[in-house]
Amino acid sequence: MKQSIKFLLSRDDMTHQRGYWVITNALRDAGIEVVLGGIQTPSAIVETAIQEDVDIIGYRIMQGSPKVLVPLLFEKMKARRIEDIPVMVGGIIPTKDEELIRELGVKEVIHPYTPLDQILETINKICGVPSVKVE
Amino acid sequence: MELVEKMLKGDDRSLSRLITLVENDAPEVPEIMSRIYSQIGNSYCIGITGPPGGGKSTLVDKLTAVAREKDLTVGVIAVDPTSPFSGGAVLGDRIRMQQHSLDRGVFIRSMATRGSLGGLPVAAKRVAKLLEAFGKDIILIETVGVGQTELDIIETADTVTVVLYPGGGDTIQTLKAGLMEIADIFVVNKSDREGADQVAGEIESMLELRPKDGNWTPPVISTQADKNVMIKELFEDIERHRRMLEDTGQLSLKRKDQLEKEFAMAIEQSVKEQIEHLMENNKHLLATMERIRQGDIDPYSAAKDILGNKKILKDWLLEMGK
Repeated sequence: MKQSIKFLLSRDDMTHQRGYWVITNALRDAGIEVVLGGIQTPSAIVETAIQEDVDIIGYRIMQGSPKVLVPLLFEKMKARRIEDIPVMVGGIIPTKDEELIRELGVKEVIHPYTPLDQILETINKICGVPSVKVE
Repeated sequence: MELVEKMLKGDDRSLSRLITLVENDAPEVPEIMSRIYSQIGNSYCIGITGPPGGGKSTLVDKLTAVAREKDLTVGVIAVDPTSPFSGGAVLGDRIRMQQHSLDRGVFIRSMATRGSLGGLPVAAKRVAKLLEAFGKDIILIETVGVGQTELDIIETADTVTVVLYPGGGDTIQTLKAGLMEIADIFVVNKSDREGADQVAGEIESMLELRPKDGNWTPPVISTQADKNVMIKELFEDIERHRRMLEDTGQLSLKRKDQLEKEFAMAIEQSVKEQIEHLMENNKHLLATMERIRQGDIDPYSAAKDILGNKKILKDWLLEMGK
């Protein structure tokens, strides 16, 4: 049976819906099963990631501070022993925070101007599964 | 199998991983299912189906809350369709169940239909069994259903709840398409909207035409899931249905029938896989297929010849036994 990549898409607020839906649809069109987590605290993200057995966590940060939220997420992940799940962060990430969160272990930082096929390629690389179609 | 042992001890990540294995039809599945069989028989499964837009996810969320108030643990399987074009899916039901995200008494798993046409993914029944073995008292399965092809839910759920709503399309047409027969309970959700009474009325009149079951008359209950209106009453209706099934012996009969079906399915699936393997590797079959392609023999006579050849069949059985 063909295995699909399972991607958890969570966010910190409701702003700029369009970008969120563009990503959601692009992932689906690439053959990925996207679990919509909605607006979630890091604790909730962790529980959802466990229950859904996701391959990647995608955290969209628009209003919150990445240098606060990302370490908190990793802390919760460690507490529940799921540090092995790769994390991608997107949204509004100030440049000064980007290096910090990469050092913490974030696999990729997505900006509003990051092309979709680049995002899909990153997912492809992270999962090493050829089933992701890159348009 | 270690993963199963950990799951049975209460480890939710193990449960989750087992669900993934079952979903992907991994080779360990027969072993997993066999190992958990002694642990099941104590859950009650409720199916929530109906046309899209009815508020089913919100309903599941609120029913879960009622169950939790009664100290019951809950497993939820939330189904969404797989895109026939890309094979991907947007699994957006659990977003309506956020209040339970930190409650370890509630386990929510989203599943895509993955090509199944009956409304539930092929693995759903097995996933329900895993949730049951994990110890969940109640299992809620939510799926879209509009008609005659989305009837998988009746195989898996003990109580089937069909959710309609004003503005959700022509009630009579929807019911005629098959949802009429499968419902144990009818819900008219979003009952604060105009037309709710009409929907309830149409269901009632269709019910007149349905053959009567002496034991059960499906109630029609009007709810407002988002405002938590009539949800406790709906839960009571479900409990009433359960008591009826238990008192009349229908529940245990149904479980026994399901066991038989699973046995047949397990054998069928294994045989099918073996034949697929043979079709690719067995020299008799490959030679025969070549003859068919050349037009020397038609497929039906060829099949008959092969199946009538005792020596070939014996060889196959020996192969399969390995």
